[in-house]
Amino acid sequence: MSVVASRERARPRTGRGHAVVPHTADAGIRATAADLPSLFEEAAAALAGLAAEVRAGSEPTIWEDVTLGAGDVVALAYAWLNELVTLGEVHHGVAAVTRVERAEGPVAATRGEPPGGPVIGPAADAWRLSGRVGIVPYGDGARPIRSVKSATYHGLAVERRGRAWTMLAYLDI
Amino acid sequence: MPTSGGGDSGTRPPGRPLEIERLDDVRWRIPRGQRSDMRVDGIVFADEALMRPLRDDPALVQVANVATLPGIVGASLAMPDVHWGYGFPIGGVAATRRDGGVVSPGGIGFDINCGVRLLRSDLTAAEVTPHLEPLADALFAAVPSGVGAAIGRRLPQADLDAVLREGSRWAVAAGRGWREDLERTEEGGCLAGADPAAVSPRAHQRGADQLGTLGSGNHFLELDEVDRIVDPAAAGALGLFASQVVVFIHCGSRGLGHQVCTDHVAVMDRAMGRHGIQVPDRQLACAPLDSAEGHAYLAAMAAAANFAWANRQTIGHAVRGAFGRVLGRDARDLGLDLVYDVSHNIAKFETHQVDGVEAEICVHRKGATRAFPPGHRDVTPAYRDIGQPVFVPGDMGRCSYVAVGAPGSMAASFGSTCHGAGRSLSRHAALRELRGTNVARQLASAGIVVRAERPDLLAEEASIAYKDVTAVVRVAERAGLLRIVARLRPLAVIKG
Repeated sequence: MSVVASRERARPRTGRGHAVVPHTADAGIRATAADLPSLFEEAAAALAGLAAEVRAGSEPTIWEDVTLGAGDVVALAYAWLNELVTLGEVHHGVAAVTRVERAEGPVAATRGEPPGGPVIGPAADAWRLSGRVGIVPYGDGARPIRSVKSATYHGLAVERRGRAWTMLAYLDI
Repeated sequence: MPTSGGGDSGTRPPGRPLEIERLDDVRWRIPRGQRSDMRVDGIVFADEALMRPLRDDPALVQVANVATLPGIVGASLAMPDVHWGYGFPIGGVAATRRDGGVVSPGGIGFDINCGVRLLRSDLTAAEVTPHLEPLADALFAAVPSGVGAAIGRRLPQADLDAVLREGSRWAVAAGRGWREDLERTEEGGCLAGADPAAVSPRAHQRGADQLGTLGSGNHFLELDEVDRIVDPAAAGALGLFASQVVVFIHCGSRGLGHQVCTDHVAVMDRAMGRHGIQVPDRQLACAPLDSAEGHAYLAAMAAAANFAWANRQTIGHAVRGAFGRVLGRDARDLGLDLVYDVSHNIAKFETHQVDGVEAEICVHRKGATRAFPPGHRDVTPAYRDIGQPVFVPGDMGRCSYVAVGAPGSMAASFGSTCHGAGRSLSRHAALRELRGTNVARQLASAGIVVRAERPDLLAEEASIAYKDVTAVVRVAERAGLLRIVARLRPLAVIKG
């Protein structure tokens, strides 16, 4: 099995970005990056920006190693975003810095699939993510803005368009 | 390999507008032919004014999507406060057969057993107004609120497990309330079938220091004045009178419940293929009621529901204490009785008529309140003559309603009705619209005291972000889902 998008550290931020996407009850995030690990980091930054303000120069005081597996890249995104939500909450802070060392899965069909959704649910952890999550505790350089209860599967999409990867995710606020 | 959470998942209006048929003044039908996989029609309770902005709203696509769930009976229902959710719309009701039907965690929502508790008092607004500022301060101090609100110590595991099994009963036994509170809480504050072992360690970890906390978002604690009695007999039965001060508590199962939903959506997403289930939006992930995944979720959901009831019970106890300290009188002496506690995010097995036959079905209510009519055996004896109490909070600047279930609800909505005003603007849009406006000052000028962890973000929850709750409850009443009892006006609002 070949893999996509496994990269080492020190990726340039070129072509990366994120934005908040309106949702009537909650909020969405859209992230863009050149490769999959960067995309997951960018989505994490979007989530952190929605959840908290982090004072410039603040450094995480808590680091957690994260290893996740999922049956497809969307499930991996669901697992990743929810890992960040949970880690932030249990440490009373925000997952402000992430280092995704590896995010990879089967090459086939990362785009161009019929948009019918999960005809067959994912069965195996073919997609993997590993990395580190740095938490800045509230009151210690971070100030909460709004509580993110969870990332949802609703409208969750991870796509490669040309040379860029994009993620759209809606969060329950 | 899926690269998205679903094709026509309701994140945008469908390419082809949904065909919506008007049935009468307050009901619209989305015929099942709108999607080839719809098993039942969609029914939306709305008048023309409420329907107008909904026509291009993803919420209606979500109503149609819910109609595809295996075993769904009757119709996929949308209450008058329906708005765009994730998977299910908020304000959605769906019932599934016990035999062959599914349970979908998204049909309950992440905040399992989010609900509303109403305390009455013997006090009038005139008596309380001189104490409003210190009372708001005392409540704000007594009930931890805001993002990640915590009580500063973790419940021992044995206590947390007892909370998950026993709900409000645990709280009352621990001295956090009065025995009669239990009779005035839906399900007696304890949903059967809860299993703490079905709740993940992560969920335990998130909830261990959150019992008795309000949280943030649209959760609130509010002092209101009864400013209009519509049904004097029902109001009397509920202990309500004109000019009376009452207290609303709106919150749920906090991080513990959120994690339960997160965990079980993932489990069911994986299991759907094995069960031969297809859904148009992965947030509708579901499993047969009679499957290992279904059983595990229902046991965990009941545990989270019990946590939520214990949470509101604990907050109610803190409210009684704050009143006592500020007013220098005992809470019993102040008449701070529980009127009722309702859940608006839950699934329950209930008996209803399905195709002319009485059947036990699983009713999912996501942003919808049970509204059983007078005489229903599941209404607590104290209120069986008037019907189940229904609380419909509006927004913090206008009004809220107390109602009771009406006979029409059983046939029309599996005994359900609206749960609030329903959002009309996104948080982003509300902040943009109110940029430069001091919402707290605006409310203060209307005589409403506000305490908030983040006053700068009050705009997200301002009146303009919500539909007019009066229009919503009137539609619910005209549709026969509820009977309005009283209108409440806010005096003080505590926001996370």
